[in-house]
Amino acid sequence: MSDHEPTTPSEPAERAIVLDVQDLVKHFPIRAGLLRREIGRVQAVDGVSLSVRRQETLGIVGESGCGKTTFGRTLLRLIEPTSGTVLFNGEDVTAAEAPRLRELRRNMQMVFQDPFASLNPRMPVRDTVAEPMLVHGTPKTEARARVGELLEAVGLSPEHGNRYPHEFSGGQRQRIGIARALALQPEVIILDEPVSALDVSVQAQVINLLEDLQEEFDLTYMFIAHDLSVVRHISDRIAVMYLGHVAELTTADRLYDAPAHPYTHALLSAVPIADPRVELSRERIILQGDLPSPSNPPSGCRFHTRCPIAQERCREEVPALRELVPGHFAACHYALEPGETIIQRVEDLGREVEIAGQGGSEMVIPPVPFGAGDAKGATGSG
Amino acid sequence: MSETPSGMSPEDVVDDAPPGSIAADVPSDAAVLAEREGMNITSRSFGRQTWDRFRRHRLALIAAIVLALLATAFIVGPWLSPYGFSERDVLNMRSGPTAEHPFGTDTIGRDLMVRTFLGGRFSLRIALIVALLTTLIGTVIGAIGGYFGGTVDTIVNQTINLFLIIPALVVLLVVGVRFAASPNSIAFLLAILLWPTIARVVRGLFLQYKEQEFVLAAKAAGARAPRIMFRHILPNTFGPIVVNATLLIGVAIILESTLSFLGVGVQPPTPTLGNLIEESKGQLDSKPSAVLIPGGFIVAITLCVNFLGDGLRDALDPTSRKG
Amino acid sequence: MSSPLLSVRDLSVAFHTDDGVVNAVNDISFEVHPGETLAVVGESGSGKSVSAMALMRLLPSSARIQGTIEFDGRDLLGLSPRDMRRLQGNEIAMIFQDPMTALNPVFTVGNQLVEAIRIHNPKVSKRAARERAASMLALVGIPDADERLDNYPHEFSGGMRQRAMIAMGISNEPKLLIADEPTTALDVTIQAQVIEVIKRAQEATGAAMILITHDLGLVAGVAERVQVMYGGRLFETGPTETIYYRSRNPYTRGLISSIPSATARTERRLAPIPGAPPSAINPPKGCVFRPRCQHATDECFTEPGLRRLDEAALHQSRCHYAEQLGEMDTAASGSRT
Repeated sequence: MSDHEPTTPSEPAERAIVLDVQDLVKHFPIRAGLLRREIGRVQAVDGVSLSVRRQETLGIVGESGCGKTTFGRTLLRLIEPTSGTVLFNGEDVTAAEAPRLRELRRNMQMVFQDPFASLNPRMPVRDTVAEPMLVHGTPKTEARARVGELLEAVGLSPEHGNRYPHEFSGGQRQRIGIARALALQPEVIILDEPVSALDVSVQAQVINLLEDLQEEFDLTYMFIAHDLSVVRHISDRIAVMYLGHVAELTTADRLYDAPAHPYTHALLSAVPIADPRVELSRERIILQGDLPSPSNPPSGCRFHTRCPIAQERCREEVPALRELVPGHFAACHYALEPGETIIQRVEDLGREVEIAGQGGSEMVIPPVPFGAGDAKGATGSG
Repeated sequence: MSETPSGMSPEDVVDDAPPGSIAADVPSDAAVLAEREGMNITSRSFGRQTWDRFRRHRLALIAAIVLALLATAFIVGPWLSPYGFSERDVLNMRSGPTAEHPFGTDTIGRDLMVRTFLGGRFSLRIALIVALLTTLIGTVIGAIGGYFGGTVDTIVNQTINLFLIIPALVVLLVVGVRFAASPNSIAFLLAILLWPTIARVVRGLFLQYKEQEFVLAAKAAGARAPRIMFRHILPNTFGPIVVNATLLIGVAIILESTLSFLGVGVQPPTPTLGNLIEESKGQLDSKPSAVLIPGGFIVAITLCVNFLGDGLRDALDPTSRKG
Repeated sequence: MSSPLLSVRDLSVAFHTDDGVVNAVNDISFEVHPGETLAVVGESGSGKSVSAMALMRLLPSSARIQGTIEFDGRDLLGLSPRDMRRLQGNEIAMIFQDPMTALNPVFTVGNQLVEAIRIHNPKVSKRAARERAASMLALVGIPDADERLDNYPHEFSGGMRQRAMIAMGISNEPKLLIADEPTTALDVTIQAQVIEVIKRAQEATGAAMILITHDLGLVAGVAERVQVMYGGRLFETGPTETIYYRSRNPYTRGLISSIPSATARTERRLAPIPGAPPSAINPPKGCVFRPRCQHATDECFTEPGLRRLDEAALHQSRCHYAEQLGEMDTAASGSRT
């Protein structure tokens, strides 16, 4: 199925850059009133620069409002960026005219999060998978034949093509979405939370499938997700986003072994681990406060309002994404050293941080004011 | 693919695989895996599900049958009748219902049964043309506004609002006097006034669907706007469009009758249900059947159309559809 | 061990739908003791939420419920609706996945908290109830609780709404908390906050908790006992460590090995369970897990019962081969010494 030459295995760092994003910005205007005057802006993506090398998997993690989904969609110009450039094999996607953009999109496909919303409910699966080919002028008979191959490549059978999406389980639908993305033999696939709507046991099937397909078709992935365990498993490098900015960017292993940004620390600390002994023995810090709104982000470092080690400077000065050691970037004025835990740093600063299972104020529930004891007793016996 | 003829309908495939079983005769390993992966969910096609739900809606089912019977009577009736629609039976003028003239005759002796059926035929024809034209105009305009958004949508939306506040009857009275005469021109006039109701529905649906991920996927695949609008989104909006078009049939019948009754609708001698009432309005005391019979048909048609619309709404409503 | 607070015997729930009878829950029995935390784990369609709704008598009338549910000496299924209402929100409180649907959008949060307190303690004055409501909100970590009382639910963030739900749940010091996917809709850092609040609230009230979730990570840090459900059946039950390290059930093992690890460097492939969860209308014959099970044999065409694996029957597994399965080989167990 693949026309590609078998590639010699090489370190991802030596491979050519496929996708190069420079200072990408997407602000959504907030309009109100009769004249739809602009009264504010949601700063969904605010100056993101990163690059993806051939056949690597770049993970993008972050919580809601961090801009990861907008970022993915802006790369394909499903959402028009406000400013910045996206170079695909050196060509500026943001400057491409409509016909050229269609050509470029052949090489950059997308898999969506919701396995129920991402397939047209009124279209048999064979048409859904054939659609990208038909749009790009593949003759109908040829497209139909390839649909069978594609469905087999994702672990379904060609006979399934005649059925409608509602006849499939969530995992199968996601396979169909992947088959559609593969139809044009793209170089890059942007996977937007592809497994987060699936049950754990099925999620693992799809992750394995994605890994197999990457090998078989020499694919480059951008894997957008909120689940750090999944991202770590599949990614070579990971970018952590917070409120439209990249907080940290490095290899998957280094991110987990020696995170430099306090937000990464907190995020890793917050993820529960499915291992009771580990879970009960580790010290987990609990971040205070809610996620700020991207329509009104904090000044300076956007994380300073929740950061346990923030200082005066963080409130005023936006930290640049700087390279700490080759290949490890973090946007923090006071980045943590490898091996240094955030709890140590907090203690050095003479501050306190909430740690799961200990500390914090003990909760004492005030007694129900007068008569309550009787009332309770009455309901209990009655 | 080769083993499954492309003309095969999804139902066929589904019925072949007994739900809950691991199919023993699946051809490939992938199919085996897929069967294990839960193809055992009971599956019915959309058409099948819709029909199942519709069938349970008794009133709608009866309404559909009554409408079908009425339409047949309107089409076949005049053809089977021994009397022509303008043929005069001078011996039996102004008669009430008799064995010879079950609906009676009018002031100049024409058989009212053949005229009522023929009138029903014209009224229904007008209503169907209105529904069809309205749906066509409304869908295209609504789809364009909803899909493109921005300035285009603002224009579409304001036009819709403008048309919705126009008092339809007044316009029809003024314009109707000048232009109306033939059933077709009346139908055309009604469609021009009624399209915004459909356009508003379609616009809303397109606004909602254009954000759906399957539409984004089509965009990412490189599909152009018309293809996305008509191939991807439109089929998903069929349900509400069909329901609203159905209800419009009732509205059109009533509007046409009103116009004809007021004398600015279809001009005599062409009979419509409205014309028949107009012609016999003077005999309401002496021979009420001449008014009550065409009036009864109007009521029957509009009621049936509304029940049918209700049934279709329930049957086509995607929110009542499971997984 | 003390006498159970909640004792469920042979609970079955069935729904009649257009497509046939859905047997959502089949003959499950379990007990919850005062103060303990029991996690009910399962994927979609496992029946975990339906069984909790049955406990709270929150199922629609189309549901057919069989079996007995005994809470603190009373038969819940036999209670009159009035007596049941007295129990709900008072002795048994529920925390839902989506607090937006559980809170009434047209009343302020304060209104709803005061209402929750006064419904069960009518003698408490409005002012006293409001004071208590404010202190409850403060307890669950909502800043400026006094002013926040006058906010409507939509003015709260997701995490704050869940905190408000918890405040409402514990304001009458319930004996049993039922938390149905309480953090699934929340971001990771907020989830950590909310779980912490739930744990402290439970400590403060001494309530027992049934935590219903699909997240095995959450369970690991919270629960004392775990109950694994699959296809509307109880598949395995036991102390948390037993389930994670010494499971005697192929489904539980499959579930655990499907999870990518956030701690270990994972070059290994994930070991997913093939296939998808069974249909509740047409479940496979015999063991419902049979079509997806690598250990399945002809014997599995007859449905296995729950087997006791220790004398106290703390650990039970629904598998013909529960005793024969080898040691668990998860990468996680290897890294743990």
